[in-house]
Amino acid sequence: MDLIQAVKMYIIKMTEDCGPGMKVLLMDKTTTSIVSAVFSQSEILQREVYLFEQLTSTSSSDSMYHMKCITFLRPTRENISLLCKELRNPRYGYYYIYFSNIISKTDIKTIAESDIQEVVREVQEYYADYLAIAPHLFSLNIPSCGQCLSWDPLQLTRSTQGIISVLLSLKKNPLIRFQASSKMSKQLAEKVKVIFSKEENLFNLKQGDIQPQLLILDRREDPVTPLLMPWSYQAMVHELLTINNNQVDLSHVEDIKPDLKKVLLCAEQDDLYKQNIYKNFGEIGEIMKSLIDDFKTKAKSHQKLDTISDMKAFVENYPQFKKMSGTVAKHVIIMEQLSNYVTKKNLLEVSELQQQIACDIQSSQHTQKIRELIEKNIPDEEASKLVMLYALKSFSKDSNRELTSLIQMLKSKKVAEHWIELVHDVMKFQSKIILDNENTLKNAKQITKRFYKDLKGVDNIFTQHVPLIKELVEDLIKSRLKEEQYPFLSDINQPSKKVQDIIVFVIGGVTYEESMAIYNLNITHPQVRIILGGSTVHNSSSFLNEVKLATFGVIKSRGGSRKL
Amino acid sequence: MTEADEENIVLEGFLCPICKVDFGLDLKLFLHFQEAHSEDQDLVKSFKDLFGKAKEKILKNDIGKKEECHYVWEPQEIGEVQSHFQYFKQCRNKWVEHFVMETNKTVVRLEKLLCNLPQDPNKRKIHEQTIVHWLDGTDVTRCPDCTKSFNITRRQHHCRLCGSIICHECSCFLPLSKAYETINETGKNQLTSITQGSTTSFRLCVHCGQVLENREQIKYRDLKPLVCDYYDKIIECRNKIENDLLIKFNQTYNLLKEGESSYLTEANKIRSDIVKLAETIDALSNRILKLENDTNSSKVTTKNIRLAMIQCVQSTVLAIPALPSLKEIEEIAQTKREAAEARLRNGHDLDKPKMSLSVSKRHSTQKNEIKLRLEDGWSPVTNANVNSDDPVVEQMNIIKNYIKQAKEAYRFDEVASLERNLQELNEEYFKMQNDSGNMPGYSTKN
Repeated sequence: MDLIQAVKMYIIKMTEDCGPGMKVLLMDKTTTSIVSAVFSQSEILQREVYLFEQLTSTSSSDSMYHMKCITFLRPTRENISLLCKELRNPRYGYYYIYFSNIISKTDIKTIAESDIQEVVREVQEYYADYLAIAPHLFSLNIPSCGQCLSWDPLQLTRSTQGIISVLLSLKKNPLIRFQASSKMSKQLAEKVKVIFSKEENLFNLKQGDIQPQLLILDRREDPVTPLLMPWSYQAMVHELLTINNNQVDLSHVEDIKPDLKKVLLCAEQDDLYKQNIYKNFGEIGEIMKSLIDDFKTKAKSHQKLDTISDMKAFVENYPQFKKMSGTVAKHVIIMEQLSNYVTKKNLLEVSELQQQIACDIQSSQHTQKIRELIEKNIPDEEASKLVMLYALKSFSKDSNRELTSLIQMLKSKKVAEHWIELVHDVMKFQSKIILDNENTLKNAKQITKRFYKDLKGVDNIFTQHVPLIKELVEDLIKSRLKEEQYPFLSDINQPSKKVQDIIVFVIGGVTYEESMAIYNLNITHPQVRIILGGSTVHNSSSFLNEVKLATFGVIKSRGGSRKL
Repeated sequence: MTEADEENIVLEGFLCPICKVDFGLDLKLFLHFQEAHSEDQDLVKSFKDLFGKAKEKILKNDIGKKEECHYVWEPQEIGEVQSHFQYFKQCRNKWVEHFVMETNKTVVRLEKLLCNLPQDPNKRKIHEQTIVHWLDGTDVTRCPDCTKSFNITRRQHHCRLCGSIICHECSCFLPLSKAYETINETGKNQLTSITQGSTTSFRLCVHCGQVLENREQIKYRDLKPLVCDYYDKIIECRNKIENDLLIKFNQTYNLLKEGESSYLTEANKIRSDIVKLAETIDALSNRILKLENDTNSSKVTTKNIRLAMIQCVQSTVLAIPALPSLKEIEEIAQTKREAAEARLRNGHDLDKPKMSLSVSKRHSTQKNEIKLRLEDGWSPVTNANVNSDDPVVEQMNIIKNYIKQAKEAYRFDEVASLERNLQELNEEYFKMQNDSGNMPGYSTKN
């Protein structure tokens, strides 16, 4: 169930299918990022792929008949017409065509009729239609799923295709479960189901005793998690510097070396990153320090090259040495940036309060503390995020009044109008007010949790909040996930009590913090395998963008109970 | 005050948790508890459960944190695939047949057009129209290609090969010289030079233009540029290194490590062969880089080929270990001889199977050896060259082997502990040998 392996194996197979010889890889924009997420350039060069081209309407017309062309495309209308155009005037010797998803017979016919020179040697479906970020994490890079709290039909199709390809690449034919309270989840679940029955042959897979489960969730159920400041390395980099297709743009940093303007953060190729991806900020700081010391001593020992053996040792270590110096430099710059932001934005204080609000600790003092922090002139976005959290988490009678006064305060501090609107949008986005009886149920649960926590002692005040998804998956593992709230779509009489393979998809995106939670669940529950996917991987600002778009056109505030 | 003091007194012993009486013995306490507090037990049990769960949870979490273990999922096979090539070929075959026919027709028409082509434009037009029927344009108000309507500025034109109507923007032009080339009549050069003054090309519709263009392209498809020759040579060298020489080298290298000095010259030769081939690869890829490239893509390609080959050369050449000197090998042989003698002194020619090592076995071990060198950590590798049927002897041989490897890796602390081990085993072995003298039926079964 390793997603990175799954995509990698497909691409290796592509390069093997066409035999030896110089190859060019012809892709579209999406497949380019799919391939680059799992392969480094040097790795793919060793597979005799020497040229990477994007299929666009303005492709170059350089013809190179001596090269074999591996064509890896999403089966979109645009791609098919571009491919037909390409085949009518082929630039390369032979074409091996792979589609990342299910393609219709009519499209194949159209392509076949364009291949008048008979250059196509292969037409296959290889289901690598998702971005494999970690062995257990995938994203579809959909920045926004829709408007008016309902699906954009295009993105609904894309999400369906993404899930289908994940399932086929892992050879899973799961039971489908969805979040009953979300219309979007239901629609997506139904769409997936339709494909199951339409492509019966494909999904006629050999299954183990325990059928896998696909759980479709909606971000609107938990808008709190993406607003919180994360402190694990990967999540932090994404929150403060933004990871885009495994790349971090550092060009805004002053006096940066040209080769560090855009750095690659890929666990597959960067061991240092792989080891520290889930470590928290403090731990990494120490690791970095020891690494630099280590590095310095090594660099020093290389300076004296008196004897031949010194020189030999140097030459032998040189490539590693150079590689290491590159990685260390990269992470040092990133860490430097992160700690700059932490001080500049006053993030330690902000985060502590965020956690207190999110976990309902000392709730009576929240408004007071928010006011104090706003007085301290923390950045607009942090101030308004605190108010958003307060709005999402407080249900007491006078919270309405408090909220209004907090918003007044934001206004008086000249926080941009955009941010104040977002406070309202987030409230519209949240799926529902928690009902009274549910509230008591939740309270009981929280009390037990508090009890455990007290036993353990709070080890880190910045990471107390547990994402909802973790609780849901834990319930699912123990077969305690309520069927009324998360029903099965497939008609099964008696779902087996045991769970083994779980695929969770979150409409509206996941966060790296949630990815870490799933990673840890995979460790603590070796008997199950859990995969997490989302329409995208959010940080707080990209999440708020999605909220803005999703609530566009929604007039009434949730339940009408809270007018502002 | 006194109450509080009483509260603070620390009680010891086998106390009942409910009535706080000391029973002195665990059994007594147990009995008391069962008799007196049986009705409370459910409560206690539930407490126990709760604590047990909490403990489990905490412990689990801690394990997850401290050991930094990664979850490991068993290797998987490649995901589903679905081929459409059969259907694709079916569709294509139908179409290609149709297309070939069309191409032939077009070429035949072109041939007819070129035959006795008049030079005078008016006469030429009549000639063209007698061969290809021009479509009547009175009912055609729009260009069928771009659907823009015809007017004074956008006039109707005719394709000279199929007679269809097109606008100026949608037509392409076939120069006469090229037209002759297309029908393979180079002999008529004279004519083309004469006609150069007047209209020198045919107006064609995009469709007919494409048909002829494709026909031309197919001619050039099989031409291979220089880069291919070089590249083929590079791949040849690379295959030779990877599939032949490196394997041989590793074999001989391991023999050397066993102290067989006679292989030194051969190993040296293989080594220099590899280096030479690597140099060839380097030189060839450099030559590819220097080739003149007119297009941007081919520049990128050659650059990438060069990059890939540099990586390849680096990884192969740098991975070859340096050969031990003759002196070092003799030292190894010496220690081995001593070890053999020691073993002989210890009685029984147990090392015979070791001497008659088959090459295939070495082959299987050599990969391990190389890996051992490349990794940072050190751990002994079980050589397969121990095949005595006595388990103790086997064990001893394994340990001897470990000692040897540890010595090579300069792990003297490990050597010491291993030697202690060996000593113990030796004693054990002798004891057993003596016993087995008394028991003639002794076999490896125990």
